[in-house]
Amino acid sequence: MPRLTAGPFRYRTRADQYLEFAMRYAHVPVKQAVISPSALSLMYPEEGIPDYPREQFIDDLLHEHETEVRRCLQRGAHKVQIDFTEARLAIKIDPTGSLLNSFIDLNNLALSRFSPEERQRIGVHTCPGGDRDSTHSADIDYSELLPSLFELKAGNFYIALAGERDPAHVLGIIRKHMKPAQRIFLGVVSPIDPRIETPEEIRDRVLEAAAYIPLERLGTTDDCGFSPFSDDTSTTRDQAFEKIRSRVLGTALAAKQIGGG
Amino acid sequence: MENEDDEAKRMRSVALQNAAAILLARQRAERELLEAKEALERRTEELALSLAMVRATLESTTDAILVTNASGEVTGFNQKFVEMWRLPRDLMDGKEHRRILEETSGLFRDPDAFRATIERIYSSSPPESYDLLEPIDGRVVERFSKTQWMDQRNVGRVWSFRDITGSKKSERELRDQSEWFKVALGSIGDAVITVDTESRITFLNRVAEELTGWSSPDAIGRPVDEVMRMVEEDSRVPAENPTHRALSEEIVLGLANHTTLIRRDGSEIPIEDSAAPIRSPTGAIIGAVMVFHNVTERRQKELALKRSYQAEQEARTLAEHANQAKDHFIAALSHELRTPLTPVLAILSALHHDAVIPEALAEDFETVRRNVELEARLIDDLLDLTRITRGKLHLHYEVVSASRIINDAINTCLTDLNAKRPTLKRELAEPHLTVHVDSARVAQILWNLLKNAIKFTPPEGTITVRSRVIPGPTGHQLSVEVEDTGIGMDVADTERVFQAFEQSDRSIARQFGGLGLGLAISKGIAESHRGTLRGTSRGKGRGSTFTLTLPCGTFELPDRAATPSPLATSLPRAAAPEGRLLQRPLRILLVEDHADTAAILTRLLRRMGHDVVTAENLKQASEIADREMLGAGIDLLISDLGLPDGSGADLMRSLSVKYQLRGIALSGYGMDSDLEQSSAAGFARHLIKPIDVASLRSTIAQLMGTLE
Repeated sequence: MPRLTAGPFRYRTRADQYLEFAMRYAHVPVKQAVISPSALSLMYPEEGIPDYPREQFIDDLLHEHETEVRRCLQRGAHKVQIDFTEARLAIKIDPTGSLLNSFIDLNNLALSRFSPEERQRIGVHTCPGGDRDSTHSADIDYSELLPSLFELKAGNFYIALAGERDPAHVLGIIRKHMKPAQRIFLGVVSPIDPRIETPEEIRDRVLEAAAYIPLERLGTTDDCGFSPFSDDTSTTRDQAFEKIRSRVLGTALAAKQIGGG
Repeated sequence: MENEDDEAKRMRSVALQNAAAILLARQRAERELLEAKEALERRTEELALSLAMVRATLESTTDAILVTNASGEVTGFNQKFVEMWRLPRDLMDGKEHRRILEETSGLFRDPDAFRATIERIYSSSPPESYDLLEPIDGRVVERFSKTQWMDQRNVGRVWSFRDITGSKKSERELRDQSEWFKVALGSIGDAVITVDTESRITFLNRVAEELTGWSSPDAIGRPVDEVMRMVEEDSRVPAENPTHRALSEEIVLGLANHTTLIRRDGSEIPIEDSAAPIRSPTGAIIGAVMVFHNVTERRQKELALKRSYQAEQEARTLAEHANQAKDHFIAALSHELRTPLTPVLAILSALHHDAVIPEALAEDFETVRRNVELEARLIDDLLDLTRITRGKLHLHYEVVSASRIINDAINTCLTDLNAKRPTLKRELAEPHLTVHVDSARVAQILWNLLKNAIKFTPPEGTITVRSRVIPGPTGHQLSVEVEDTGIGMDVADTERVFQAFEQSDRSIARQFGGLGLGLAISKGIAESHRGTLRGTSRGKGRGSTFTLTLPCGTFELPDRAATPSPLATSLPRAAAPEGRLLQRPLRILLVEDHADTAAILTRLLRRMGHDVVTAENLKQASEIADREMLGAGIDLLISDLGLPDGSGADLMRSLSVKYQLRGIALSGYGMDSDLEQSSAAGFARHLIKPIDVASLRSTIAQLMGTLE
């Protein structure tokens, strides 16, 4: 984890630059991912920075995050997804839940800066980690995370499910703790599994999820992002596109079967 | 693995330290949220208050208000809107403007036109609209609408409706009234123009058009001075139009002027004009009205009247001059008639007291004296009549005993009474009553009445003199009756006898003589005292009664007899003092151009013991005076007034200044003005010719203090 050595804290590159680049080639709506304030908050050193108090850092962090999200929304992002992968890790580091609650408070402070309409275009992603074909907190049960996660004021939740050993257990937790107006996008493709899921598998996973989540609030996603192919060669670019293609087809099969759209 | 644990520990430590800062940030955010919420609540309350105010304003406004949004839904209205169009409540609750319009369109004769107007407004969405609605019930409603903008977005329209039926009616009435006034002003006989506050013509009636030569279309809007060119009638100086003063001084100007109007073609007509300011119902000056008319005909009549008046004035002046000439002639005649009598009367008076004259001759002389005195009397009557008819009889009022005047008058007539011997009765009441009169003139009246009574009553008849106090219109009056049992007169003659030169019968004049002036003079004197003189008779042969009434006061009798007039007159001649007079010798300058008079007066004065120097004109008199004053001196000047080379008044004025000489005027002129002129010149006394010796003697004695 990089460390901040001096204030003030500013983003050098914001996600809207990538969004602009992607939208030049995209022919479908684009979801733009951004890093969460809670992840970046860990950059402030333990011992503090002279003349740059922690409180000022938190304020600057919230301001920079708000600016990044707002610029993505303004540039036409269909959704802005805040990667909150450290949530599950926080439970692992601090089983008391205090750290997680602190992260959720910080992210909620950021989300509070947006209107309800804007928050319907903002989502939160959680997973046990997927860098270098490994997870960092898959051993933490969703039951410890999701009740707190749904306290976030986001309109969309992107939850990794394909890599879970007991999807029904997780779906049950989701059904229990999800709140009205929250849309749930479930991960149906595992980026760290080289095997390419078939559309039928995908369809079945969706059908299973539909038993727990109302169709109008249910969507599919990948469990996590496909890591840059330069440093993670276990999953090739072609494989990644095939997986995505299967997700789209499988979701469409499910929709055709159950009448969703 | 150990590094991973360290990293995890460090992250946990950082995260926990961050948690405190996050908590503070969260608390701050919550506080800000709370404040924002409170601010929002406050704003909500303020908004609610504003809305309530807006609602109250909507309800309190005199207009009916309807508010619609861009979709044509009703978002607001006031009660007046509902009442104005008599709309059911449920219709308003439906909030559909078009439904409301559908409902109200039935109130108009042409519902389609009504709807079309609204559709046009909705489709073109003008910023503002205005039109008049005239429902079939007779009302007139003004409709105004305005687009409402919010953030440059059309959010709807506000419609306001105002019932102007009353003002429309007033406007119509005002227009009708204005037309009525124009018709009325156009119908009247006077010319009328009106101007605005800038003195520009706003109206001319038909007569004004005819008189000025300007038509209304040509004149209206022009300055009044261009249309109404006016000059003063006599001086031709440009005259100010009266509307200017009516506007500037806010006053009404009358018609008393003489102005000439120069018409458009240059011809002129005399006019009389007036002007007044025109005020609005609030009292503000909004113009002026000028009324004028042609006075050509009247001017012509006035001119004729003026010429007639001038002619009459000239005739009057001529008549007055003739009258004055007559007066002068009478005065001169009187003077000329008196002058020759003076020496005659003087001689006769002197002889009357001369013991050497035989008694028979003395009686003849006495007859001559009486007739000369009668002639002098006739001359005096003529002068009195002139004074009375000219209103120039001056009375010298004094407080005297009424009984004394009556008794003196009777005594004056004793000689005649004794001669004819009728019975005289005196019935005099109020012996102490006083009257405020000219005693000599009242005595003259009574003397006249007694003389007439004696004249017309036979010796066996009776004359009764009766006095009493009677109530009069302004207080008590003294009534003196002279009643006789003489020849009497017809009732018709009781007025005529008071006319000059009239006697009841020509035969009377022949039988009894006289000019018939006495009663006319007496009546004039009585009326000059605010009294009356009336004559009554029961007919010819049955006697007459003449009654004199005079206002009487409650004056106390003075201790001594009333002071006579400042300058002694010839009246009453018979009442001259009879006292024994012893004269101190005086040196007298006698100036008289009538040689006989000068001679006899010189002789009489010398008989009185005086030394007399005579002169026959002013120049000679002055020289003698200058000479004598260096020698023996002069004590007294006795001078005629009319001298060949000047006036005796000038002589008196000169000598009184130079030598403080006193003088007595002798003159045939006996008018009051003559007496006043004598006094002004310095004469102490004025004796009217003819002069009897006794009067002259007593006057000298009184004046010079020679009475012993």
